Amino acid sequence: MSENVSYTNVHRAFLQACSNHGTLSTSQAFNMYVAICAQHDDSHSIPSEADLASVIEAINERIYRFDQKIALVHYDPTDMDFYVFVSLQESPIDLQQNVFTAPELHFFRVLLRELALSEDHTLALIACLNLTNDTASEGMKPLAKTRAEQLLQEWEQLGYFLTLDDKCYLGPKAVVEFEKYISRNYADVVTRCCLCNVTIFYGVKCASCPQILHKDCMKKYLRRLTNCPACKTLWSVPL
Amino acid sequence: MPRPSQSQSQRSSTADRPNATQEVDEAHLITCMVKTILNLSINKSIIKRSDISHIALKGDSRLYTRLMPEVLFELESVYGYQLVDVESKGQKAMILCSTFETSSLDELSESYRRRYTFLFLILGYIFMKNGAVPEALLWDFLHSVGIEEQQEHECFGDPRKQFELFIKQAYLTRTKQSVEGMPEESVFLSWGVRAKHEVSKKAVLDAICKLMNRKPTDFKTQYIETQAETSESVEDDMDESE
Repeated sequence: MSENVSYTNVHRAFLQACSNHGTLSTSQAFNMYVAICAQHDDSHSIPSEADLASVIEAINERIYRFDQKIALVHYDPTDMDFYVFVSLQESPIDLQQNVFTAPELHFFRVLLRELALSEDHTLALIACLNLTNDTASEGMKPLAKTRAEQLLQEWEQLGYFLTLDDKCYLGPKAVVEFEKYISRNYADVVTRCCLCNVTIFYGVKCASCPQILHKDCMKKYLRRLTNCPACKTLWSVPL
Repeated sequence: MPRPSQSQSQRSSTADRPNATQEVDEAHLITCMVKTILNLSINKSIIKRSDISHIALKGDSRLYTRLMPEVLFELESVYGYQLVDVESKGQKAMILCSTFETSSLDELSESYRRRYTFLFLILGYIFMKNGAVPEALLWDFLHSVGIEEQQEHECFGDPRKQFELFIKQAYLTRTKQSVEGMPEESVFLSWGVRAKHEVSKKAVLDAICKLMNRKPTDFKTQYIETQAETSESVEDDMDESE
């Protein structure tokens, strides 16, 4: 625990905002940090990105105990970096919660399942909405399509899914929070990036072999070496 | 039905071992209580003491009383949250509030921003009407600014649904009052416990003034209340820094 760094309302306000948003782009996060400093920081020093990094580090030290973390991830589909507020041990889906009803949670799990099983881990938006047919159970009506649309929007805001060109992707928050869940339950259809060993859904594909790798992992790797880490042929795909 | 969380099944095996240290157990239970309170408060709804006891402590209410001070400490020191008691049909209930106000809208996501704007309209109207207003009059006011009770609004969605959510979240509260000349009691709306804790009267007055193109000082009673609010929070800040 870093004793000489004080933990102030700047930390608390940023933590609250992070958990409310679920997912923040790095620029959103920094703008928010500046606004929070304006409100809470009495020293009125100009905030820098390095300051934000150490604020997040201090927050993570304290929320680790509650199985939470603010993680910085590179999201390959949009080639952007995001701060994601995650609950580490279990997903919010499995914990006691009172936000979504049982059919709505079921719809979420069905979406996860279909995205995990699809080869490129995307699903046409129309197909997503049709998945509501799967949510009928024990004589209860299936989820209405309008409600499904609303839910998808809500979940996209939080970072669980992303819609791009009428296709649905796993969002940055789902990629981090559900990595273990998906690799456990769908082990035979998901692969790992052979450089970082984390389950990979989206990335760059080698021109000569079926391997996909995280763009960030490949960038670091290509600083020292020039071949595909899996098939060893010369790497030709521009990053 | 949601599956019990992994921490609950871990806890039952710990309780079966009589030589597990009490300290470790208590720290773990405190963690469970904090997590439960946070999870149940994701949508800001009113949470019951009995729920926390049941979910995090397997119903042991003595533990609840003993561990709560530490739980409150963690919530405040790590997250800047406090638990505020609310009246709920005779049961011990509370809401999780921030210890400071959200002033900058940048901190909010788009959907939150819209909800807050709608909320500020309602709170502002009640504030201008000196704290309590018959529910029917509120909808008349909203109609005058283009928000219909039964119609989907392009910015605010379903106004009725959003309104009922604000009541659930303790931003607004309904009370029954008898009005002279009326045979039945009328339902009045006023600021709920959460609004009193989290929403700044000054911010609301500023928003209303912007809407009506007036100055805050035009509304003497309300302006004086906002000034009283500022001096209260200065005292709080001074207490905190000691």
